[in-house]
Amino acid sequence: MKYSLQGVTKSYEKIEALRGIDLTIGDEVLGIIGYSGVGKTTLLKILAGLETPTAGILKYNDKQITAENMAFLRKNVTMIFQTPLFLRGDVFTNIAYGLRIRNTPEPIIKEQVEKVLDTVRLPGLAHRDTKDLSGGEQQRVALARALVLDPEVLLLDEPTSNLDPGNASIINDVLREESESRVIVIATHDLPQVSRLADRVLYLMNGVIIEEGAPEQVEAITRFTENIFPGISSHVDGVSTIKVEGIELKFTEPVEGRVSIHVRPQDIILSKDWIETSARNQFRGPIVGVEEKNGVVLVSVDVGTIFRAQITRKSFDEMRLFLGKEINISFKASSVILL
Amino acid sequence: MGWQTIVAGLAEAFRLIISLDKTVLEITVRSLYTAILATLLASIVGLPLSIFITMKEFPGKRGLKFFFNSMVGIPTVTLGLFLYSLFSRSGPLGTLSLLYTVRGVSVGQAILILPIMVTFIVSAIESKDQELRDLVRTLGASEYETSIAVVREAYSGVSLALVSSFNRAFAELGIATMLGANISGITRVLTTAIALETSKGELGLSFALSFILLFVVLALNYFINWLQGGSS
Repeated sequence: MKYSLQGVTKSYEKIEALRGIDLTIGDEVLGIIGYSGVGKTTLLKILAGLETPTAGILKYNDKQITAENMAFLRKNVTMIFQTPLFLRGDVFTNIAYGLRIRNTPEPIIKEQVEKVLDTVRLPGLAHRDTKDLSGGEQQRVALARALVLDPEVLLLDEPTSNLDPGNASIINDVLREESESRVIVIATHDLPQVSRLADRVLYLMNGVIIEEGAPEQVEAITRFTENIFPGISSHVDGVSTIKVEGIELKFTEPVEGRVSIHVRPQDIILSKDWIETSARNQFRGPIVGVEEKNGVVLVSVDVGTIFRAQITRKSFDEMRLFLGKEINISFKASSVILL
Repeated sequence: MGWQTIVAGLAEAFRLIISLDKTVLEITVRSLYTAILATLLASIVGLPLSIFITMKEFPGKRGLKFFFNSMVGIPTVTLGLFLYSLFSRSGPLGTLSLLYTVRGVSVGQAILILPIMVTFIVSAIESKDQELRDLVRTLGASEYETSIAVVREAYSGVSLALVSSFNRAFAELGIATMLGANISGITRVLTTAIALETSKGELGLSFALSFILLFVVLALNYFINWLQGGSS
């Protein structure tokens, strides 16, 4: 066992970010899923030796970790953050940093940096200033900076959440290769990513593990995959708008830039005509799919992109819905969940 | 008195600088020396202290920060008077023989600028948030290496703190007067000379010295600006 956690709790002043986590992590790729603010980052930081648990026992390689020997943990594991941050200087300086503080001889550093840049598919980029890197390149350099240290455990916090699909798929490929030689723990809301990469998935909610198992067993994954849309968000006059495949969704979180959002199928209202409603999002399109599961019906509506709405069997019958019928969907701006 | 005096002072300043007037040169060099020494002394204490304040949690941390914040604007004469009574022969620190010496003035100025230095450096380091600390720590940095990295990343704020401190020491009058007493050839610096020449009615020389003072401050700030531009 790499890690063993018993009753690990972390509180910040009034907030309990993690509550009594019991967990063991072996030689595996572990995915952590859940909405933002449920404790994914806190859990990773504890595994990384960057935060001390308020209560509970954390063991690494059977050795109990305390505030005194956290440095030992940090020599063996490395974390990658959601937004990459760089030290002043070029790519080389940044990747070499960890090796230099380990007193690695310069010729070896040079060799290692070149090798790891190849690993992340950025050969020859060593002398580029980090300020001149694109978002995708930044995250790949951050990955290289961690991998060059050959850590026993690689911890990643939403590494691809702000990236375009091209860069995200490169990172996924690198992670798959690296999973051969080290333990990987990845927090993500990219469920296809976690399904492909992870051997085991934890579903975290309000600081507690709700579900745990292989990706195909975790119900959160199957439920979660509905209505997830990447897009570009802008925030004007207190309302955020995200453009998704030609339609504009309103939501409340004040964020700008590339984001992913999720609308729960049970939060979507179906109506035959336009309705006057306080819901800020209303779209019209044909029904392109109907699926019945455990007494509820999932109706797919193509309004430019496909939304899945969950209604009861009774509503479905009463509304006399059928494939191809034009219908309205509506949901509140506050039902749009930022991932 | 009018614009002519100022223009004449400017002309006199140029003349004195170009002719490398011995007295003016000596006063200017002494001013630079005391202020540089003061900045050095203050950094020996101020830099580690600032790092300690930002990196560690300890009781009284807020109080200490508040103390340094409020001492930023301490009147130089008040501090000068206070130190005068400490340094005077019969005072508690009289045996150090600091009174009426350049070293004494530097020590006084160092105490004067310490709060500016600490306040500026603390805020520069704090602006480099927790994320930077987490980054270098997860790459394996020890607490010591982390503090080095944070100071290096807060470089522009730290150098601004050092320059502001130097400027304050270089341009202050109260401590140089109280502890140095404006002894010609020994402790006379630009600011005390200006005060003396003005009281004697020698406005031309006063203006000349003032322009030299200004020139040094501007040149230094320009230099720092250029340094920062070149490195970032």
